[in-house]
Amino acid sequence: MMLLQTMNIDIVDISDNLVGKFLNNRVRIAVILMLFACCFIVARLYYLQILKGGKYVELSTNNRIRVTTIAAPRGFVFSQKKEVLASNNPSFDLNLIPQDTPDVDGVLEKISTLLGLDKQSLKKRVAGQRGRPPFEPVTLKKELPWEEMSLVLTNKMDLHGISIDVQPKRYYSQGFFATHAFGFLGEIDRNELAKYPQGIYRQGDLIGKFGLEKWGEQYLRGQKGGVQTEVDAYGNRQKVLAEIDPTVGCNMVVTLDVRVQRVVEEQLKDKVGAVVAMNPATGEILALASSPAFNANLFARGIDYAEWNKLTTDPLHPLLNRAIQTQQPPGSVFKIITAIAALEEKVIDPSERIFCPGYYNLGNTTFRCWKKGGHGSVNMHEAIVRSCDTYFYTVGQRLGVDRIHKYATMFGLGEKTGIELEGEKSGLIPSEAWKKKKYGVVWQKGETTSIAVGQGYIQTTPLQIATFFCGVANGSFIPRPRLVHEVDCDINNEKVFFQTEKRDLPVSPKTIAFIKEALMGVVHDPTGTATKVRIDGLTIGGKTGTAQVVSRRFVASKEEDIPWQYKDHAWFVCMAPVEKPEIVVSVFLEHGGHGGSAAGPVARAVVAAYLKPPLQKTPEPSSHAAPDDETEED
Amino acid sequence: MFDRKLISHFDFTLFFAVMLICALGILNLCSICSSEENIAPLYYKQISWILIGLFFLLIIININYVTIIRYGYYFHAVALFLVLLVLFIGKTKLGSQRWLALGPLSLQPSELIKITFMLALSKFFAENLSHRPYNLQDLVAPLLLLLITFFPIYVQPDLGTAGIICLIFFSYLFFININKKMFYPFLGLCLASLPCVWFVLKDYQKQRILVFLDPDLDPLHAGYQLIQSKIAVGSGGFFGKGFKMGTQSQLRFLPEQHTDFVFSVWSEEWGLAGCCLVVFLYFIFFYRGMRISYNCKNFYGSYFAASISFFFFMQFLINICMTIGLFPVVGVTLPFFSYGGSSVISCMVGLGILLSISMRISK
Repeated sequence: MMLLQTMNIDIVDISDNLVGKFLNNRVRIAVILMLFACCFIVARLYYLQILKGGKYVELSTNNRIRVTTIAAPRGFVFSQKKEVLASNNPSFDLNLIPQDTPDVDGVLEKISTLLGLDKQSLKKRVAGQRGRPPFEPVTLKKELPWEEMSLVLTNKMDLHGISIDVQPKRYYSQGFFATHAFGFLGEIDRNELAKYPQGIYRQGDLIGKFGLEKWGEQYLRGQKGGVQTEVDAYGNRQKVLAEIDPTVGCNMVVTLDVRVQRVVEEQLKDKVGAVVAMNPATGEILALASSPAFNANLFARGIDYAEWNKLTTDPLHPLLNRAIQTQQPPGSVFKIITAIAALEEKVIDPSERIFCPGYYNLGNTTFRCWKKGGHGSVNMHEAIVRSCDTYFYTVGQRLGVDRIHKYATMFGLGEKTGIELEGEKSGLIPSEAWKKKKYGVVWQKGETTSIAVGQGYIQTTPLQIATFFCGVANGSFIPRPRLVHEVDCDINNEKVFFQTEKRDLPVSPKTIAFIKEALMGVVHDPTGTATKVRIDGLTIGGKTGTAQVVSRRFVASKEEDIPWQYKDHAWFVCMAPVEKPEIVVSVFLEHGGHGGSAAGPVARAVVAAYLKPPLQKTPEPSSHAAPDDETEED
Repeated sequence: MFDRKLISHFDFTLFFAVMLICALGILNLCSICSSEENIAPLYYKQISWILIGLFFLLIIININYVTIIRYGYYFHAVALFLVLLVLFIGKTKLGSQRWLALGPLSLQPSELIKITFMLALSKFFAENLSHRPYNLQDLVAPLLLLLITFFPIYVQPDLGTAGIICLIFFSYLFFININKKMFYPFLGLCLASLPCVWFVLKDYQKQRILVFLDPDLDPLHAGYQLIQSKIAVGSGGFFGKGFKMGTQSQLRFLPEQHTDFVFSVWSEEWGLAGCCLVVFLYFIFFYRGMRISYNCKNFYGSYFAASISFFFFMQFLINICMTIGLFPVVGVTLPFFSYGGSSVISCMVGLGILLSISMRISK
């Protein structure tokens, strides 16, 4: 290799030789490269600062500004007499702020030994919060008792990032009171989070899951407050930028009457069923209960898994609101619809007598009246009072199913009543078109016979029966049943009143008067099926009903021998006083047996509690009682 | 000794560009210091470093660069010795041994060795000129030089400087004429060995590369710097948040804000406009440096001027790309702008030699 070392390199003019030209060329390329790189940097800066600038400004704001939310106390629930039904109690939560905790593991270790909590589950809780901003607190334990709270506070120095925060906790001051009406709160789920506009709820918030808590969520929840603080990278608060106090949720006044509700619940104790008591003129629900019930206080801060499991696996389904979710044939209660239809359609004169030999023949089929020996010759009044099946089989045949359907629908059966509670069932009123559509078969005449006495396809809820009776009580309209009387918002002194919503009933007053008379007979006539309901000095009009669980043909006829689950469902619905009805009570007892004897006394107690306080412990009106066989209908 | 001609060739444009960069750097440090009351104002120290650096620069421009470069091997040997010394008696900061305690001051010889490495390579190439392209056997000596320089720094560990050392070497390969037949297989070999480098890397270094590819991988730890830096730069907008108004830096969300991430602080507070000014000044600086190389009639000067300009450019490019999310976070500072005594002094020494070349351009 021939090196140029021999030359005096000090004076080599590089532009004179090839190596120098090469170098100069490369230097030129390097400058172009640099220019290109600088342009590239500027382009990137333009992209970050101008094109994406807004996003980064937001990110930097989020970085330094930390918003701590202050939960808004949920609105109270009052009765119209200003009794507190649901309120809030303070509850203390143990929280960890991941961003302020340099050594999460160590802190969790200390907490677990201090409070005897499982470290793994604590870790899981913290890990489960990944993806949320690290400054948002993770709740380690809810409802910290006093002694644990003091333990944590005395060791606060070692527990970086741990804080105890006060949270309002829902408290149902009356215990089990109307749990199915109030519903309960639960931790918000993903779907609910997505449903509401951002900012209203946050993961971990409680939201009304059921009942009035759900219906009134928008009123009750109030508005969260918050403190906006500027923090440095270490989470140290530099200054408070803004503070917004939480707005207490609006209070709700419900129509429930505490006294009536209490009696209802007392009556339902150890029974399975539902009771609805309404003011027929306004549609206000005075009492609504379903049994068995559950303790809504369990849900107050989010129910734990074991408790929830216990509730959901209970064979009696305590979470089911039987008042609006049970769908059963109304039995003889439905005869009132058939009677009204017959009178309005003039298919029979009320004085026309029909002979009941104890059965009714249609073609080759024999339909039995519940009374084996038959009722003899009965007119409509007697047929209602004594609940004669044969009479209504005959009338039903004259009417045809579609005309029965028309009147049943007119009285609100077969459709939701529109109460504020979610999950209401609509029941079912069959018609010829319905059967064709559902089963693809034509309607059989014999089926009308069953429908006329409230058996067969027909299904109703206790609440529907109550509203239907409100219609009978009013004569001219059916009110929408409602639980909420008004919503009061303290902040703007705004009050939302809920008006009675009426639906007109195109039924002649004559028909109504006749029916009311007959209903009174059911209770007050010695031959009536509900004489046990009588209260001295009150006129009560009611109707018993029995929903067959198993066809009587296959089961031992002796009442006591029938196993509970094969016993019939008992219905009783009544109004009082008949002249100017103030209350309508609908009672449904699952496997209760006969309407008159099982459901009747429950209704009687409710009526007495509302109209004749305090309840007189009068002896059973046995003097008026007809023989057992007479008062028990099938 | 004093020559009018020397003054007339002094590259004032370059010098003032660099001085302006220094001034902006100090201004930037003022902004950061406001939030750290407990630490003695950093910009005071930086000013003194710059003054010390200028003092060295003043001495150096009076010395003929040819002399300096001719002693290149010796200078490099001394720097290498200091680097090795650091390994044994150095101070440990942030997990790596880079500092040499000199009374109250601490010296970072790895900053100095970048300059001496260029001196040594310039000497070698200027003295081993060849009319035909270099073959691999001609480059054995520089390669050995690279290895003995690279390893002690790598062991410290100082990934940034070690990388810069390699890049300096490669920049020489760009400026010299190498045999293409030999160069491409060599380049191929280097590229092929890159995946092997992965296994040599320490865990935290791997982590840095991984989070560079996906910062959200570990947003609270390894990815934190990158994310916060991008937020700082991006939130600057066109005119920035204003002096001392940068929330990312003032509230200390930005890590390493006086060294590696000074540019993020600057861009948050001065926005695109301020950034363009800085980038423009740097470009003037590089361009003038390259121009000195182009005009220099001497291989010593020409090689050194080209390589040191390119070296400053690489530092600049890597540092800025790091802050704007285009390069993994490696400890490379922004020359003249970042805080750092050793960095400022060694950069001033390098600048001194560059200016010395400019003054004696006609020789």
